[in-house]
Amino acid sequence: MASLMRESHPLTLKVMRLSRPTLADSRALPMDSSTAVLAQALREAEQNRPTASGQIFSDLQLSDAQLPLDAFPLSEALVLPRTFGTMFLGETFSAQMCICNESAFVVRDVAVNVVMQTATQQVPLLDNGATQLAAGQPLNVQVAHEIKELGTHVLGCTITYLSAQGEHRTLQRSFRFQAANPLVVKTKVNHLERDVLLEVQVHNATHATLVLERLRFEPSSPFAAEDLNAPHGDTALLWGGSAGFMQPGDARQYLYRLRAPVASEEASVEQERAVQYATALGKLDILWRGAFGSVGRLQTSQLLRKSPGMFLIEVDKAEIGKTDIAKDPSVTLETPFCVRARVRNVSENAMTVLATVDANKHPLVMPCGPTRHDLGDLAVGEAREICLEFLPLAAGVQRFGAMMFVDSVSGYTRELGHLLEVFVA
Amino acid sequence: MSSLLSGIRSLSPQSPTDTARRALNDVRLFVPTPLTDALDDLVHAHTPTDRPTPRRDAPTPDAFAGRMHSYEILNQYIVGAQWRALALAAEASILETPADEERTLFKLWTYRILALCSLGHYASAAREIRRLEVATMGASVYEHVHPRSPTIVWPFELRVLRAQVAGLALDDWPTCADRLSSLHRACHRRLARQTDVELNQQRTVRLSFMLATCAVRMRDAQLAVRVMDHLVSEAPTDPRLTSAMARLHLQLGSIREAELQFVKVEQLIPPDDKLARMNRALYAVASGKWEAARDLFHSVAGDVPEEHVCAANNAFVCEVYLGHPQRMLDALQRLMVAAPRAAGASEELVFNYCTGLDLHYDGAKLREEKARKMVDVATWAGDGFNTASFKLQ
Repeated sequence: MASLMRESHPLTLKVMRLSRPTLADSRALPMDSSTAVLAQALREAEQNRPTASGQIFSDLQLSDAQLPLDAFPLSEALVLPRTFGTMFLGETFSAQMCICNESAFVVRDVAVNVVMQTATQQVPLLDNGATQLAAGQPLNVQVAHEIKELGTHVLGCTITYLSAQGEHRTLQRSFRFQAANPLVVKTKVNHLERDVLLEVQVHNATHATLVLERLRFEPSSPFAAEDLNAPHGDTALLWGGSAGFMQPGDARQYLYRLRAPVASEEASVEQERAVQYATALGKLDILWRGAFGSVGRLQTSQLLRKSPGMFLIEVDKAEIGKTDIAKDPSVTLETPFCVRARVRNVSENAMTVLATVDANKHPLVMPCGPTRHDLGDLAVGEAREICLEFLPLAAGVQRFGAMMFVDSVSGYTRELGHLLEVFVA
Repeated sequence: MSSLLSGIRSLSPQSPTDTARRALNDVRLFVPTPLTDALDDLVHAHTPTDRPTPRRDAPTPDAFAGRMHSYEILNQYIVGAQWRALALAAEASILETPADEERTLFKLWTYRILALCSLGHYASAAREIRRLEVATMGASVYEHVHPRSPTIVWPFELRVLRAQVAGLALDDWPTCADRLSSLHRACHRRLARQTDVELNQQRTVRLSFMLATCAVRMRDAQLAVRVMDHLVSEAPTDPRLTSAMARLHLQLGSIREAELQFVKVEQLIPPDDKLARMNRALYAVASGKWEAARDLFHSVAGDVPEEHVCAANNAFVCEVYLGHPQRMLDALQRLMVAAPRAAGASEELVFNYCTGLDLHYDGAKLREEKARKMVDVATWAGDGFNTASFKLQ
């Protein structure tokens, strides 16, 4: 608590941070059964100290024989905060301010103005209208401010008043404190085809136990987020019981799948570009509690990824079929199978595309049939389907279909390392 | 002993030829009994010399030496929180008791250690316990030299004190937990053998609570909750135990879990039971609903707040959060006068009151108000009052 008394002012200003009270620790004297010599005396002594006892009382006549609650760690008495403590980003700073007229005279036109100054802004918290304070009379006001920045915060208080001599006077005081970061959030982005797997690690950087109550990912367009952390949607395993506790220094890891919209025939090149070039993934919204329910909430800035970008010629919708018509995903050794794929011009110009299969790159799954396919003219956004035949020569998981696409108009070339992976039975 | 060797525990027994082993009534087992009291010192330091100070008990060793003090007298000292007198009386009684009356001696040692701990002299208590351990450790070695019963059973309270002192004196809560766990296992074995079933059930419950305390001190919230979970699972229909569990969750910040537990309690007791109202009030505090919390606490305290000191205190604390610290000051003062022993000498209430004083006053006026409160407390409180409650910087 800060003291602002100066001899020249009739008013004093005291400020107390209103963090939550806590239950007092019980200081139970060790007792044993009712037959022990000490027991009766200790019981009587405990009754004289109700605020230090762990006893819990009910109107029901419940026997203490089975349940000696005197040794419970907490008493029923609340205790005001012992220290200012540490202020954290995401918490709300609230304070009780007491302006007291310590003089023997009436002080008039007492007006209180309180602001919170940070490195980047000044936020007004209170601007009280003028009031009058009799001798010894206090004026109590409360202020609150959500901490949204790290670093130095200054609570500036200005009290103007009319002294007993009719003089306009000003009392200015400031209180400085630091706002620290309670949680360190690290992320890792992994790409899974068109989707994104987002790993999030949250680390408790305070010296106290926190309870994580909620961790929610809010995706940015065009993504939709799937929470992979709660099996079958059962969040009790994540946040229930003691699962939400984070001791000082603890870290928790969470996983989200961000699904991009499925590429459709109707999707324009612009829509497809919006997905592939999207860098903003979304924001994390974290809610936690401290001792006796004090709330903290943080939202991260936009989480970003390095966009995979697009090739000017995109190949997608590759599917396996036994013949040109029937689609059957199973592949057996030394049995030819067909792969259908869609080749699309997503550039800004018309193309004339020639596709070539590399027969040497994946010798265990050989192309059989034509290896050169002239796709002809492709307008902007236009797609053409090709059908390729392959012969698997070895069992197991095999990659195949290394290809090259060449635009004879611009000379643009795209190399595809493999079209698909397949299990050869 | 050289300071180089202090704290090192000898693992080898004393030589069998050393027959000058210390008996349980050996004067060398004692450390000097603390005769000063922090509250007395504070009152004398802060009260002007022209003002009377309350007469407080100032025991001297001479008043107790050379005679036995009955259990009745010792128990009166406990009830009156006269811990210095208890320490001196127990010491004198130990010295007057024959060495072969081990049960009596251990009971008296329990009083002695209890007194030292209640005075806050945990280091002294730890030293005396250590000396007692050494005195009793060699007993089986000397059995053939000094024929006597090999069984030396420390009283349960003394064993608990021994465990707690490790944490209180040295902040060594893991050792405290180890010792309590060892006691817990011993009680469980006796329960399994159906020996003193009710007694050992009570002991296991008490020890579990103490283990939860150790876990809280070690800042291991999950361990504390696990210990309580185990207790609740063995008595799921006792509303007090479930309430205790919920309050621990509140203290740790797990509000949702606390709410679930409070709902279970409400299914076990009538809605207007004072336990239900107290639970709702504490939940309201954790939710920041100060007006509701204050009203609920007042409903528990009723018209006789001095009989429900905790609920009354909590209602007054809410006034600070509602922007009325002066109301808290006035109400706490009335409560302390109405219930001097339960409220006026309560460290928690004095701390809350002095916090209110710090908010309201400054300079000489603040010192004067705190000095007045010290005199009041000195009138009502026994020894060992934690003077940090006055918040003197």
